[in-house]
Amino acid sequence: MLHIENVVKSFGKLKAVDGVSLRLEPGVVGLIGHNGAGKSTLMQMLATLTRPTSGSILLEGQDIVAKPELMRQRLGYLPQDFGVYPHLTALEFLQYFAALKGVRDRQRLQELLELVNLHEQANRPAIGFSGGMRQRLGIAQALLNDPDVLIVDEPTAGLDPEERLRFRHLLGDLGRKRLVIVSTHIVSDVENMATHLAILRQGRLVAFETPEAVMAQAVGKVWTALLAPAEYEALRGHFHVLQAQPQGSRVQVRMAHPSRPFAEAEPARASLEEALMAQRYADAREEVHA
Amino acid sequence: MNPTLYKALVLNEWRLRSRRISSLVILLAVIAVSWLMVLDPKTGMAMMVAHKQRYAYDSQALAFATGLIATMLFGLAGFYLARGRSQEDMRCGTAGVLAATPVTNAQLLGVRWLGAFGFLMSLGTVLMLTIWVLQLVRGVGPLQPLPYLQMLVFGLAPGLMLCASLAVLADAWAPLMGKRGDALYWVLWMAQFAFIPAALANGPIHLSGWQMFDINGASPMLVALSRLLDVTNISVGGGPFDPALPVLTMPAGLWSSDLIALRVGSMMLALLPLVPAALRFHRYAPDVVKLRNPAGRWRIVSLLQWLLRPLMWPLTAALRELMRASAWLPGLAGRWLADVSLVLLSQPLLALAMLGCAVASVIVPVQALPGLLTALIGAWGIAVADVSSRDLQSGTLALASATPGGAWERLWRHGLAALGLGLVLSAPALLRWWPQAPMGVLACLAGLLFLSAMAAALGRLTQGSRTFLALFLFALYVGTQKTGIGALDLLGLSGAAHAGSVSGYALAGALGFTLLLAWPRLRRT
Repeated sequence: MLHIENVVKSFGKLKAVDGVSLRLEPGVVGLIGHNGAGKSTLMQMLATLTRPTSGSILLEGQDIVAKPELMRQRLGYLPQDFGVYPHLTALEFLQYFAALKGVRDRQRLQELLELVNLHEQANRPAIGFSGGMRQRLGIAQALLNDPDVLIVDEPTAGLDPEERLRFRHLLGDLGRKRLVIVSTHIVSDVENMATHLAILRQGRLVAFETPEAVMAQAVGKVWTALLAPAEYEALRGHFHVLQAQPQGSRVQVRMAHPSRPFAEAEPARASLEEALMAQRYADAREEVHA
Repeated sequence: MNPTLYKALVLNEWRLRSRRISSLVILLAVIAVSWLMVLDPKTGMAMMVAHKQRYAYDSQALAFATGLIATMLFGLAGFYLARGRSQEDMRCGTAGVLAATPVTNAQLLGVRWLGAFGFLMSLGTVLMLTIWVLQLVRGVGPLQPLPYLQMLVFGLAPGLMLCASLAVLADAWAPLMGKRGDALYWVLWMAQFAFIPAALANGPIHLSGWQMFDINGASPMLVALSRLLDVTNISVGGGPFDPALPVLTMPAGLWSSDLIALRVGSMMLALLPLVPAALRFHRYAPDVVKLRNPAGRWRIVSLLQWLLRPLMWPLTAALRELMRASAWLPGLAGRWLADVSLVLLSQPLLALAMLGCAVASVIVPVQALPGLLTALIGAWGIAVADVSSRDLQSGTLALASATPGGAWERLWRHGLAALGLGLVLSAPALLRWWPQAPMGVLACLAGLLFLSAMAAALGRLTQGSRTFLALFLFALYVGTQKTGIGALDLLGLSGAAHAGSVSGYALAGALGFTLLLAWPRLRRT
């Protein structure tokens, strides 16, 4: 569906995206990486907001760098930080974007407002909405043209846990019919809904795997132990601490290490976030030893 | 707070304002107007003329004339350049941090004022330095720093102090933070010109205490000039002269003690707006000002909307229908209509005013059409000032740029939306006016083309509406005065426009749209 071929985006000497190639099919793709890894820049190129310095992006064989309109007709985009027009109600806001996208179906606006649970606030000025309500209005806007490709950048930033959960379910449902690309550095956002994870580090694609594969690779790399505080202080420099939680007079430690770091350490079942951290730690160690 | 901290805060204010592109644009505009005013005597026109005799371009005359024009232009644009710091803080997310610091309201507003005034004075200084260069190129006599310095301190400074004080007030008091503050300042700025005929028209010309209230200082300075030169009629800013008559030299001695006292009094008055600013300062309280809607609720606007309910309700409903209808138009036409609808829906009171003027233009006598067009185009200019910066200010640029047409089309489409709106609304008046004043109608069309391109280009370049607004309002004011100069009659409303000025503005408008078309491509986005 969407083929990204050796895409590079440079800002002066800095390569924000460095030779990324991906073949994406319908489903939810989680774009994972730390701040500055190049996620947002890659998303902006996919959303036709900016052009790659080199490389190509093909939507069903058509070059969207040369013909961005092909993508825009089939795209829904929700950027990381967006606002609303002052003085416009939520409905008027949607009407404006519907007009830009050529969406004539009035019923569609009503359905979308209901989908994101804003139908009762449709005639309220959107400027007064909370972060979660605004985010939901944003997703309604992105879905106006029933897009084949939905790109959402850090969609849960600033949302409360309930809103976050609702958002994850919504994106998971949407991903059954179309390609949904979700960029985030909060791994738990995509843990249960992503069909694939694309992991970026310093502008480069370091992995493109299913979440299960990423977790499978972490077997034998994540460990747990119950240590006395003095032991913990003595050992903590020898492994990468993932979590340290006081339990009574001792500390329950979860850590990443390529092999059993000490005799008391037991293998642990890694979460996706821990698996990614363990992988990153292992890569860093290899780089140091190399 | 120790002096080092004060210095750091004031410098920060100065830096923030001086690094805006709008500052450069306004400075260049003021320099251009000042330089253009120093006409080449070979053209038969000169900068200062009294009884058909021109004055030599020496330090005294250049400092006075360019300073006088600068007080007018900076007196208007200075406010728009200085204000906007509160909105900037809220947009950047530093508002809450600032509000939570131990800095008191008076300290915060005080350093804001010092930063704004220092910034405006540095612009004035740069202008004066460029006039030195001009004197070397086109002037006569030795360079004398004193007349320039006097003009800067006593001529320009009080007006700039007022700009800084009112900018601080407009940023501190929520109801003035939006376009309402911008529009009100324009009215205040124009009101100061009422002092000129009052001081010069009747009876003997002399300085009087009430001229202290003319803080920009045009009337006391013109009175002092008349007294100094012992003339009752003098043209400053361009007038014809008789080359056969000898060239005059402006003597020193303009800045008499009574004129200086008046100007010092004006300086004191210029500080007064700081008192209500300190009393009404919102200190970014979220229940008073909101991000991206900093103007909050204003009772007068709410009251107006309530009083005009019988008109507002059907108007808003009609505008919503217009927005819906735009989805039925294919491609660019639909998106253009959506943009026009957005401009109107965002400002329903201005939309009502413009529609009222458009309807009135069918009924009123033809002689009243220029006045009506002035009001209509004035409202139009205020409405379209943020046509291209609205996305940046509202944070919707990325959303809108990912829709069909993209960022490239969106920029020039904004110019087209402004132009289309202006043409549709002024069409009834222009059609009726055509038989009486075809040149005026052509000038109005060329002016609308030029202003539409400028609104879109300056909005994007400066990421705000105020640079365009300041220049537009100045041009509108100058354009309605009987200057007799075609180039100043941008919209053909004063009857001075001629084929050359009309084609010049049409060409500049076309070039502006070409720039809008090329812009994003140049930036490779």
